[in-house]
Amino acid sequence: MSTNCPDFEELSAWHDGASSKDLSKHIDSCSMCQSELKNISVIEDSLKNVLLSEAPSADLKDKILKTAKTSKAPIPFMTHILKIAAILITAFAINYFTTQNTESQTNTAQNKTDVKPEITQSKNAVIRETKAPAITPDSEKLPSTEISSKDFSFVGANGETPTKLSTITIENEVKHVWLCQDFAKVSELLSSKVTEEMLAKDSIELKLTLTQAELINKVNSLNKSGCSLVSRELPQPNTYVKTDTPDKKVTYHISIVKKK
Amino acid sequence: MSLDKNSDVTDNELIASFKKGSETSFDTLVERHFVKAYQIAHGILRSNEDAEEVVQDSFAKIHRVLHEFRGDSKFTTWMYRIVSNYSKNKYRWNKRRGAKKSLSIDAPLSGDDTGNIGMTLPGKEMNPQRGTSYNELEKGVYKHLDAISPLYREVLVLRNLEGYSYEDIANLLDCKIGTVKSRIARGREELRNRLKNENLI
Repeated sequence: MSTNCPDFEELSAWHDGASSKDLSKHIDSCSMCQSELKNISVIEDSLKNVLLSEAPSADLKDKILKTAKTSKAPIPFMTHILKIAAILITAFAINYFTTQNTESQTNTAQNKTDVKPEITQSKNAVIRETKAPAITPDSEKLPSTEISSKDFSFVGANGETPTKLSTITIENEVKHVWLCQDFAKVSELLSSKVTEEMLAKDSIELKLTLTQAELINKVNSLNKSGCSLVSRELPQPNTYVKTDTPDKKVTYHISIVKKK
Repeated sequence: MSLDKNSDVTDNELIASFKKGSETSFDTLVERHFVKAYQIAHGILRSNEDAEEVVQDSFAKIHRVLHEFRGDSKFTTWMYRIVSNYSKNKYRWNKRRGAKKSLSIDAPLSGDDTGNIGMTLPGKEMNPQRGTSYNELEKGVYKHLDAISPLYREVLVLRNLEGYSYEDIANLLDCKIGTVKSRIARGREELRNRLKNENLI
């Protein structure tokens, strides 16, 4: 092709009557372009014959009808979206509670007579407690619903977000603080009676005397029901593997604060 | 019992009848169009088995959603779009599964055209019966059609089998006319070069 010749794309479009340019004058006088157009025509004729000669198997029509009339409607697109959303939410929730549990497990079970400021080296952050929670042996008041990370200052190497609060252990009486949304469900899980009046409150206290094994079940049940244990002392959900004194009964003060 | 596929009843009339509950109208639509649907799928996929699977899936889909067909375009245009999309999905599925590893379809399937040229594959075995009816050039076209990008095959198939205009093809494939023009030319150029190398043209 000479430099004056249209490129192959233009010539191909011209062949199909789809060129925006008027190439007729050039083609009339250009044997090379005429030859290209002839090649295109020859190839197209052959291609058409080849494509049209393809025939399906004799029973394809029956297969089509059978398939079409027995196929079920696919699951609507939105259902897929909802499924994905549910999976993501579940994964997020699992991750959230797992993170809480992991950080809680960094503390050992120690009896304390008072809450002391302490430094805990968690996996990601150094947590400095600067203010004790409102629970003391002298004050059986529950931590208010305002209990939050604001009560503490946290020093993280990379500015990590703190998650843990505090707890108190008084001799054999262990105080647990849980954050829960549904008091009725909690009382059911703990096999404890909760009155209507208690349900209306922002926080409730329950006193349970349990063996450690029983406690493990309770703790794990609460954890599975979506409650968050905010006290750092053991037992934490899923942390008890064995107990040295399985039959010893301990009185647990379970403080449950309603999630807002 | 379905109507004669060559009856005067139009596709739209059959569809209207199907919407009223006539399954035989659907049977007639299938009878009327399944061969062409198969040829389009085969033209893109170059495999009898895959093409038949695609056509079955396509008509299953058509059967499910025909009630929603509004008739904005011709039934055949709508049907070919479904067949074409299923064929491309099948091709991609095969590619992911490792079938036809040496083919390249990395180019986007719509929009701008950066269509990669497929690598040469060993020539497929041609049906002996079919082979005897082909002349040498047609045998060459059959062989080299496998080697060009399915993106190019797709437009060439629609152009040659249905005689669609560039605009029709662009609408059907939801791409620009320029893309169609370019793909048709590249497909032809590829074929031409390969046929020239074998002194078939």
